Amino acid sequence: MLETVELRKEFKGKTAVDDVSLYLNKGESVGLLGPNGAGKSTTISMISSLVKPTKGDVRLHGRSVIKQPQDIRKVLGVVPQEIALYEELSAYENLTFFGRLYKLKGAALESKIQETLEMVGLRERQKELIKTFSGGMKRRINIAAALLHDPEIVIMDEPTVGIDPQSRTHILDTVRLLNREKGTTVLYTSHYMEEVEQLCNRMYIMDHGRIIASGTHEELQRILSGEDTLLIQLNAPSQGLIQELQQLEPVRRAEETDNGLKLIVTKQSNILTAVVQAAERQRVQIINIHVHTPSLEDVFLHLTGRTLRD
Amino acid sequence: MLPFFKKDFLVYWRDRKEMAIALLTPIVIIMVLGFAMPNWVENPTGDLDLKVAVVTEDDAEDGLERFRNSLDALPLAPEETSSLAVSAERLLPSAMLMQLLESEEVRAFVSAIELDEEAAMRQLEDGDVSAIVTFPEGYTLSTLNKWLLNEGEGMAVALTAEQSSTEVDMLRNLLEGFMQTVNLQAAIGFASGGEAAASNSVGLIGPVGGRETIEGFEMVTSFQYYTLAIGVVFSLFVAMTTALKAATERKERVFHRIVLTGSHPIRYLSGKIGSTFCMALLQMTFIFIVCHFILDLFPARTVQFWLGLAMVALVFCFSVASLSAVFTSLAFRLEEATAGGVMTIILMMIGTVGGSFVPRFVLPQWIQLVGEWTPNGRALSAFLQWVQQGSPEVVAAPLLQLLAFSLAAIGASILLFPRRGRI
Ligand SMILES: Nc1ncnc2c1ncn2[C@@H]1O[C@H](COP(=O)(O)OP(=O)(O)OP(=O)(O)O)[C@@H](O)[C@H]1O
Ligand SMILES: [Mg+2]
Repeated sequence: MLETVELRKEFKGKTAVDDVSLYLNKGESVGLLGPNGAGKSTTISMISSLVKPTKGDVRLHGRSVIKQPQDIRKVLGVVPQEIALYEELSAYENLTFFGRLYKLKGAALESKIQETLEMVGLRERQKELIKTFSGGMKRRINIAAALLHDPEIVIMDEPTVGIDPQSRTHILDTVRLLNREKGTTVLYTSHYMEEVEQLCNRMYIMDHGRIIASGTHEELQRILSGEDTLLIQLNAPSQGLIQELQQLEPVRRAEETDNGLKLIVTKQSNILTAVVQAAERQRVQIINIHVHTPSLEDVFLHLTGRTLRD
Repeated sequence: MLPFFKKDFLVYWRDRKEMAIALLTPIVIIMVLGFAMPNWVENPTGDLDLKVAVVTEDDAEDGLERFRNSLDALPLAPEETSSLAVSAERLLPSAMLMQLLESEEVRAFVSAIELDEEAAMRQLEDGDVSAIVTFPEGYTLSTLNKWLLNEGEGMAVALTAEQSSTEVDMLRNLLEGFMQTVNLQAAIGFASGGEAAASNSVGLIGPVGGRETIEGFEMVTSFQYYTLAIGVVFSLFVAMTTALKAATERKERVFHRIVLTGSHPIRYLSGKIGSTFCMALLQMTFIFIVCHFILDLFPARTVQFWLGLAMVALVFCFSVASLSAVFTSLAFRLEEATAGGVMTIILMMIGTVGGSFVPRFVLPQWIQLVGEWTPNGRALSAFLQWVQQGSPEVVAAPLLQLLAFSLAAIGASILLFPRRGRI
């Protein structure tokens, strides 16, 4: 129902978003993953018509909405990355204000406010000022404010950044409820792979303004089906060992970890013997070797050479 | 419109610290200024100096002579005739008026010189004199006929001025007051028993006005001046506070959220205008009332006076509110720090030239003229004129100008408001 076509945004010669094409089908829950500065927020701003794209198009049901932002604003609920609320007003007053801007009135407005507050689990605290709330509670109201007008599509820009586990659980539950029970289409942006794995059917991985991979969980994992990850625990750190292992043909990548090192190697290679021999030559003792199948985090590392979070 | 207003007003209202500062600072400043410099603006006539040219086109001797001659033609007893002739000499109108102009009270703000018409016009054009008082031809005869015989319509002295000013208004009031009082007394005299009574009562009229006041004109005390001026300038700050709050809305992205609801910029701006209007009015009312009760600012004034004061305050606060809309648009156009700087400069400038920081008469002439075109300058004159003269005609013009300014400012704010994609 919603798609972007080669969306691009340049800021003073710097490309923040580079030919991004993505789509959302009705009722889908889609993840958008990427490290800091990948261009996620900029993409969202263009979709929600806050920022004009340098090039490309945003289409709702096949119709361009760049020139007619009103069409998309009605069906879209955006949860911004920042807490966009009035600190001096109570949760209830904030929701009343934004609800009225969506032309809700009277009993309809009141019931909608109570419903969304219930959804984010803050009904009891609605009379309190936002500035007295914890970061997690603010985030939850930040979400509630985007849901008042029953949007068909909800876009969430890192809704769980820097919050307590309790609020996080609440937010994840809210997203699930929206998507599975109300059939709302969701675009969920995050740094957290496990959140996206839990919530989304499909995901896009973004880096340096580009979409570098997309697909379902399984499809993405298949990217790494030819690789294994070895976690090797050592009695002492050894740069020499890392350097030596990097010379080996099946090793794609070798890096230091807290208590040893991590290797990404081609599957079915007879690497273990080589590792043990190298360790002996470097006079370090291997305490433990763990071979594990790649996670999406590994996929991400593989694709970008970076971790999702610093 | 209403949700925006409610939200903006609440945001103001909840900020108790800022509210307290906004309400108490001006009062403290008024007290400090008033006690530290009590005589700066007290008795403004000391600083007013109106140079007036007096042009006499009338021959007073001849007029008196003709009046006397005309008495002979009337069917009067000889003693009546001679008493009227004596009165006429004593009440010679041009002499009385000159006596008034040279009396101590009036000399405090008027210096009169006698000139012929041509010289007077030249000096008026050169700005050497600010007004010309002309005794038209036949003035003496016609006035005496009116006063002593109740015949004809009398004749008025003419007042010519290049531009109106407080002093010219004072002089006009003075002349009108003089004429009215004399005519009234004469009329009462006739009604209550003949010419003799008339001449007596007319003779009782001294220079118009008492020690502190000139007829129709109240002096402004320094406390009144500071209260009005500080009240006005602090209202201007409300406009800036509003715009800074709008900049915060942008920074904290609530503004984006508002844009996403598809609300029209005019609705957004109207919230700013409404809340600024209320806050400015609240602040001004608070300042005026508190100062009035502490300082007995406007003793023994009528309800009408207070209504007029409220009217000026209402119109001015509306212009402040429209200024806040301009500032808000500016704040969206510029970086927050730049916007703050630009607004401060604008406020300092219009505050100074508009006489909000120092009395305007200490400023150079041309700045005073520019200052008249600032909303705060206009409002301050309107306030002062209302306090001094209490006449609706005098304040109507500045109030209309303030309204015109407000509408222009609202138009400008809408034009300045950034289009989508540039916020
Ligand atoms: N208004 C702007 N002017 C100039 N550059 C900008 C602007 N907004 C974003 N950028 C740049 O565009 C790039 C993408 O930023 P964006 O905020 O979209 O990243 P992001 O993926 O949301 O990152 P994060 O995870 O930190 O939120 C960044 O390099 C950023 O510096
Ligand atoms: Mg972001």
